[in-house]
Amino acid sequence: MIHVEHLTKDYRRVKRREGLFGNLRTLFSAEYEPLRAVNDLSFDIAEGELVGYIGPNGAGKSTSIKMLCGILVPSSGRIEVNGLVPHKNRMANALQIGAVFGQKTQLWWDVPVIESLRLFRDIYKVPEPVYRQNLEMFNDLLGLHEFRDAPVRQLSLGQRMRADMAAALIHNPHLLFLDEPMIGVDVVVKERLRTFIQQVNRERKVTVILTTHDMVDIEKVCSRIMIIDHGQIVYDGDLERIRERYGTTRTLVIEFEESVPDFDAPHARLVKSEGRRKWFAFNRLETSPSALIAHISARYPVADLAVEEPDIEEIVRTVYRGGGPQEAAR
Amino acid sequence: MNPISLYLRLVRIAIKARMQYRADFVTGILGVIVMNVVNISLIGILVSRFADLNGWTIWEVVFLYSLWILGHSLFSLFMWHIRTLEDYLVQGTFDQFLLRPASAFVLFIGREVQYLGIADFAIGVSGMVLAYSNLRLTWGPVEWGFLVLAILAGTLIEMTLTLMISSIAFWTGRSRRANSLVMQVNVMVQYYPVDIFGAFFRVLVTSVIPVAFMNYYPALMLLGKVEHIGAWWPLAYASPVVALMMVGLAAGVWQLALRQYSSAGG
Ligand SMILES: Nc1ncnc2c1ncn2[C@@H]1O[C@H](COP(=O)(O)OP(=O)(O)O)[C@@H](O)[C@H]1O
Ligand SMILES: [Mg+2]
Repeated sequence: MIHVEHLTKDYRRVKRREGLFGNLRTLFSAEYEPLRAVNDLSFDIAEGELVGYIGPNGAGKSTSIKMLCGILVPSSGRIEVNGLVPHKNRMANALQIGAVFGQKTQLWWDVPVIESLRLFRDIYKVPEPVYRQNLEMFNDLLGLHEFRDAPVRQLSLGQRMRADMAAALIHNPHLLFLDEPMIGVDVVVKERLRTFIQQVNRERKVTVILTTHDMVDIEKVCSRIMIIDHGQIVYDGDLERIRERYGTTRTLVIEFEESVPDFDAPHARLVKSEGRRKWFAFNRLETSPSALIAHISARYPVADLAVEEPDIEEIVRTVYRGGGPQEAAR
Repeated sequence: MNPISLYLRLVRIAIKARMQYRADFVTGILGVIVMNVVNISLIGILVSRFADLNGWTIWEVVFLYSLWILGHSLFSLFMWHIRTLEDYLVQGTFDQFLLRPASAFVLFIGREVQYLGIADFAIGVSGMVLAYSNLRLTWGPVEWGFLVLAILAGTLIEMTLTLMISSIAFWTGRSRRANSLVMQVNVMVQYYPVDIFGAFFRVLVTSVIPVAFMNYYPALMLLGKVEHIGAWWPLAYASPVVALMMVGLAAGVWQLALRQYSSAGG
């Protein structure tokens, strides 16, 4: 469905000149500072996948999504979206994709939401029955009817995002690109949007790329995650595997019978100490919880214990830092 | 949707959006009318003081002013926001125009309307009526037809010029200064007959920044002063052709510019 090969995008940052003829001088003798936002990116996404696309700010997520939309022209490399090259067949590509950019709305600010939707219906030539059926679905799942007659500027962020989501799907696209659609949205609406995204993916077979900073989104809705940093993929796979590969750190929490002095155990590090409780971090490839527990309980009487799995957020942070198998191998 | 019905639809939405701020409407319109009346009076004083503006009478100057502002009024009604293109680029709101299966240009040009153009239009019509009767003009269908063409050409010339200048921002991120520079030249042409200026300026407003075709040249035809420019007489009829050439040029620049578009971070 999506094929990306050695994709690179360089932005040119202009060094501006001031003064009356500044604009013109900049035009003809501009000095540019190149900035590589996307660097030799390659991946494939199959039809019907729901991919979490994550990475720190400035990693190149939005830039690559804009290239998939045909908004930006790549500096080099190849993109194909359902057989089309987005920047060469921009309008044909626009018909088969929907996009939400959480940072800015696609809707007309000062007119009722429904007015924008009607315009999109006509631009995309959506047949009336399909349009009505979609509105019904948006009413059910997004509560569109609650705010469809209000101008966008009067909407809360959560309502605005739901309206944008509806606008992106009004023409039944095959693909949906969501660039931080959860930004600034409260928990209840988030849950609603997640359910909606899942439903659209499952029932309409829409291929989805979801950019988010909220790991709960990833855990709840995505079947695959791609982590990007400095314009390059640093991990691509399912959640289970990432836990196996990067999530080798466990934490053993022990509550002692009475408070005991700090100490280190073999292959484990004391990371936190609070009252009668202590937290030991260890790598499950170096030692096992049972060995650790045996060692510790031989020294002090243990009242209670638990082994904590790392949460996905922590794992992703390790990946960003480049602390993965490659580094371990070095 | 074909581009024209899309455009009309967009304009309807833009008007609806504007109507949300009706309070500004009256004050804005009054402001423009007062400003123009003051302008015309100042020119009137100037012309009567220094008597001879290279053979142009006060009512002929009013005619020039009115012809310019009629073309300009359509521009300012429907296309004023071209001047703010750089804001769309810097903020990345231009993205939305590239996201639809429709011409980015039509989507952009239909995005806003500016009601102040109504005042420009009113001023232009009044000035034209006053000048017509005071100059005791008696036009036939050819002159009336040419007037309409000249006004539309004026709109197109100002639009394409503004579009090309504003497109500089696709490369440099900024275009405001270049735009106001051109506007200064444009205003000179609006106020004074071009032949009172030196050769450099005359060539400038005929070729590089061809705003003389918004009013000066077609006015020569409409006022029967074609002999004013001697062997250059075809220029008096050239406005529509110049406008079409500018449209072609601007379309090319626009296509180049879109490839340059680099959105904004976020
Ligand atoms: N329009 C632009 N012009 C210049 N640099 C940009 C532009 N957009 C983004 N960048 C830069 O490119 C890099 C990647 O940005 P972006 O794709 O927005 O990252 P993300 O969406 O992952 O936060 C950042 O360093 C950012 O500052
Ligand atoms: Mg981003």
